[in-house]
Amino acid sequence: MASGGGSFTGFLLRSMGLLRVEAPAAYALMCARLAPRELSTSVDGELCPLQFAAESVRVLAASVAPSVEVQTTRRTILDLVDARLTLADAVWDERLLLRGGPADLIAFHDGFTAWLHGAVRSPSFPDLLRDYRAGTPGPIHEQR
Amino acid sequence: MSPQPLERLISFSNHFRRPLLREPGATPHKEWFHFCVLSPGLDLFINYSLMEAEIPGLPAPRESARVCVLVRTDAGWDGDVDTIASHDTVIRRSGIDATFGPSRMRFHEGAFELTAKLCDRPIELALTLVPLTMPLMRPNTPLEAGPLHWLVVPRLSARGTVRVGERTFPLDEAPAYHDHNWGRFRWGQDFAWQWGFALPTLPESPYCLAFVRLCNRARTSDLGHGLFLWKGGVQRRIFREGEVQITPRGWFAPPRPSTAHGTGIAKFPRPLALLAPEQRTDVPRTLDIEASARGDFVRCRFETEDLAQIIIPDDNDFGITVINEVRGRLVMEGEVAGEPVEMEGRSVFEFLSHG
Repeated sequence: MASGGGSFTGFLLRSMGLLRVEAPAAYALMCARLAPRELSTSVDGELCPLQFAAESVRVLAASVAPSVEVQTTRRTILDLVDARLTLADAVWDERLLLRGGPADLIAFHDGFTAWLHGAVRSPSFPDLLRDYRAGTPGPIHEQR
Repeated sequence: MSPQPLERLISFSNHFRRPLLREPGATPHKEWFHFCVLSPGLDLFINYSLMEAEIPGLPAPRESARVCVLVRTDAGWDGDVDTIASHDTVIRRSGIDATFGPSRMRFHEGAFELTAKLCDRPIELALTLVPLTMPLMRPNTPLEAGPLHWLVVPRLSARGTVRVGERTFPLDEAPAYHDHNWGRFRWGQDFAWQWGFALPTLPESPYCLAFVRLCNRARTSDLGHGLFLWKGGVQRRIFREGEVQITPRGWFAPPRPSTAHGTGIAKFPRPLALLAPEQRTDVPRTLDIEASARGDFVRCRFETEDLAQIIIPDDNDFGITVINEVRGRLVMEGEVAGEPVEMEGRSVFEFLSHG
């Protein structure tokens, strides 16, 4: 995987690697809740399709048949992280676009919540967030 | 010159309790030094903490150092919780002296010297807090996994400066409070606390008080509680357990967000707001505390004015513990040893809830 440099793809992949090592219970819960779905994320047009299995997640070269599509911006992500915006407001105001069937969207919500619980328990996440905020590159944990 | 009794007592009793060796399988040790300053135009909360937590794959708990600074001005709440790298944390073995990255806390020549500088928020402070009352230690309150210990110095005088963004707040003889807590527990276990203190509005008023109630998470069973009253520099009266009646009334309704996307209640650290977005709390609108024993009685009413939340991930599961830091006013009246007791003042309470 060649992405990095503070990109959303780099941030997301580093986060998955950190979660797997530093918060394995949250990683396992996230995977269990999202499997066997494909999740397509797009941040400022940067695409990152993910395929979830029961115990792992991998990046796809291209989106195939996403169960859930998530579209947002870097600005919205940082507003959420800095509590300037709630998730509900982001969706309501169409700053976070979600597309999928009801069961798939519920699975996304539950999987995302598991990711958040892991993120706030992982010692390395503050540095990861700082790098993303600053747009600086960091090591990417291979997820393929 | 030999140290004064108050200085000596604090020096001998208020040192760090963190374990020198981490035992595999031991319940994690938690410890924090908490300070509040209530001055006109600026309320300040400073917390230096050492929290052990079990990390998957590690044989013994790992310690994290944090500095939390919250300020409340006419512009609202600001602040953050900074995690300090272990190589930037120095807990000195002698005395009360610790460096947390760019921040430092020490007890030196009879006063607490506090400096703090947040990493991502423009908040910086340098304060000297002189104790005005004798400390009280309340050790060994039993929690699920081990005892919790509490040492309180309820009244201090603060001077120094606090910078919040472009604004500088000079403090001189500002009322302040301090406590130190330590014990072995995991966040999310079956306990909660309701704790508070009040300092008089009038500097010449001799009284101040502290209150603590430890209970189970459902608040249906008390582990212990007490109301502690000081007059001048010394303890005047302690009411314990069955001598104290606690009555919450109503629910505090935080003001509606003032902007289209305001998040209403200030929550720290900010990313944790994603896991606790609720804009309702179970913080009471008022809390009545009535204590009586052997002819003495005290009646207090705390009225909630405002709050912020500190959100802590639970250790045991994917729950969260929310510490509601609540500003308000407290009125006290009563009689102790035939002498009328009265006080009206600023007050801070903490109410724990879980999500």
